[in-house]
Amino acid sequence: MALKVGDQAPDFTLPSSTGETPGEFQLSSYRGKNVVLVFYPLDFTPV
Amino acid sequence: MPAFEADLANFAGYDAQVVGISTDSVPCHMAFQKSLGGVTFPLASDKWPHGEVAKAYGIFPATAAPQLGINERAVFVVDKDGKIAWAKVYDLNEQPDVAEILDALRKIA
Repeated sequence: MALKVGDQAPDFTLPSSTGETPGEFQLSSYRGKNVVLVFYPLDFTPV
Repeated sequence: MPAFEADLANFAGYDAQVVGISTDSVPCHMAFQKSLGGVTFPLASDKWPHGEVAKAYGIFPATAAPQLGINERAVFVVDKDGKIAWAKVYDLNEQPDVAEILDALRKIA
């Protein structure tokens, strides 16, 4: 895995959906808060 | 994803924003959220350029199935300074242990 604990998390901005409302998610706009990035393989998969 | 929704109040207790990320499109995320009966945290679409964010985190394509064009299942805890405080890559079919992630958040609280 390329990234290690202590590394700066690469910033990104992606289109998003929250409760079916479209928006945008920018990691750096959450500075001052913890963020849990949950990468998952595919929508509609069981886990 | 349902497991994270169920524990969302606990994540908020550690001042943590949860975001789900996959290479699916936004319309697909919307349909998925609807099928789960409502998801109150954002699902981000790493569809184009395909898997670019997952690549930046070193988890694309999934090594077990590179032909599917999907990212690994992985969780990164990013602290208040934007640094990676905890990271784990899971088997594609493995359910992440939410308690373990909350524990990582407790340590940086």
